[in-house]
Amino acid sequence: MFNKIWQISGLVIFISLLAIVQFSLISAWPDPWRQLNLGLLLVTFTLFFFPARLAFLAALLFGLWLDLLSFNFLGFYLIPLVGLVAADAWLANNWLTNRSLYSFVVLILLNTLVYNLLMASFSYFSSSAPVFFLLAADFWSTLLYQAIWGLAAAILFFHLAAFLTKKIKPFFLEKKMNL
Amino acid sequence: MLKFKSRKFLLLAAAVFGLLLILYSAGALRPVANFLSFAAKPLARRFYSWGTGFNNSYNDRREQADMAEQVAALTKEVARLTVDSARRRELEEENNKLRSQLNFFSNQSFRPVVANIIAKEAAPELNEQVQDILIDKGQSAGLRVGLGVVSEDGVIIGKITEVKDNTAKLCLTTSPGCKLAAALQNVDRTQGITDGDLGLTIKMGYIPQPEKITIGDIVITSGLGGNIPRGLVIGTVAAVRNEKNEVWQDATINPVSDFNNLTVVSVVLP
Repeated sequence: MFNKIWQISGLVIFISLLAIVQFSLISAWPDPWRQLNLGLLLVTFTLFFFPARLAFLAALLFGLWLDLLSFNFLGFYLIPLVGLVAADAWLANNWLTNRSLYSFVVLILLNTLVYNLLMASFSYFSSSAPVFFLLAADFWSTLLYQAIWGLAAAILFFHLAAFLTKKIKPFFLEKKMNL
Repeated sequence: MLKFKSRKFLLLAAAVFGLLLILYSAGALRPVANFLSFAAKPLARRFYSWGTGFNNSYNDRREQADMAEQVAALTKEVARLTVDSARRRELEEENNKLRSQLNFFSNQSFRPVVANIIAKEAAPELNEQVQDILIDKGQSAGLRVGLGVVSEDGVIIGKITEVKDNTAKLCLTTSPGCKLAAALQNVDRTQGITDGDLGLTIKMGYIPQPEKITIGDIVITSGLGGNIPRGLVIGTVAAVRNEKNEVWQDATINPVSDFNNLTVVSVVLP
């Protein structure tokens, strides 16, 4: 029981710390480093390697932190992150078949696209932006940078996970020769 | 791998979000937000400072090391001299007015509230152009929307656009939509409105055609509007666009401070 409480507390502190890093540290970095999106990576990795309820908790906590610290409306970060967990779950149930690097890459790229579309729509409709986001060069450059970061992180973390656990080791079917 | 009952999950997510929304609308989340913001501020300040350090070193590496140092030193010097010069001119004018008007009452002294920058916020579609800055002082320190914010050099860098109890958001003078009532320190004492341009420079518009503007003229806040006092340096004129068939002319202004290096600012309370 106490072990579980410690685990959850540790997780809450870790996610909170990540949210503050995203909010203060990464926002001060220059491009393209500033486009590193920890929330997106956190949610995708948690969803991929851990139970989905943990990914839901991570999305909820990370989004809530950013919503409360920033000056946007409640749900600006929360809705896209929690929405992604739901969409990924649907994808995983209906389309993706296993824990391969390819499905991981597809998941992270799709998440990046959907997340950026949602964020830009929220930003566009909640403020009087002079340019429609799909016509803005900054939207596409942000998307590209985030996709590159996501791809790099996916490859790195997948190999790290393969090295540390036995769950995603390659599995080969041997062809038996009947002579 | 990701198997779970998505219907149940969606219902749970909607319920949690609905509850949060109700609490937020009722203001019940405000103490929680204040507490979280209070708890996060020391870390946020430290992280932002590290981030700015990385930003500076990254930018320095992209240029020649010596050149970057020289430019940084000269920029600082120019900012100091510009502020000095503007103050002197304002003092001269003030002096003249005082001589002519014995009952003149000068209220140039304003109370600064020093604040740390804790984050930057950018709109996804205007990532490069619009970058708002978040500071660690808010309503509880007497801050309100419309107040001017100056850098360590005394150069105005923007104005407050939103406030919470313990934090505030400000727009930079270079961000589109961040407008200030301005005046030129030229013969005509030209007045106009400045607006950010692509996140890089400042445009001053609505300048009547007959007014004479010279490159290098110093642009200061005009004090119109009441929230921002007169005499804070905005920048210097870099170019003038003057079409004879138009009612107004406009000027491009270069800011004298480097906004990327800021970690501490002062909000000017009138």
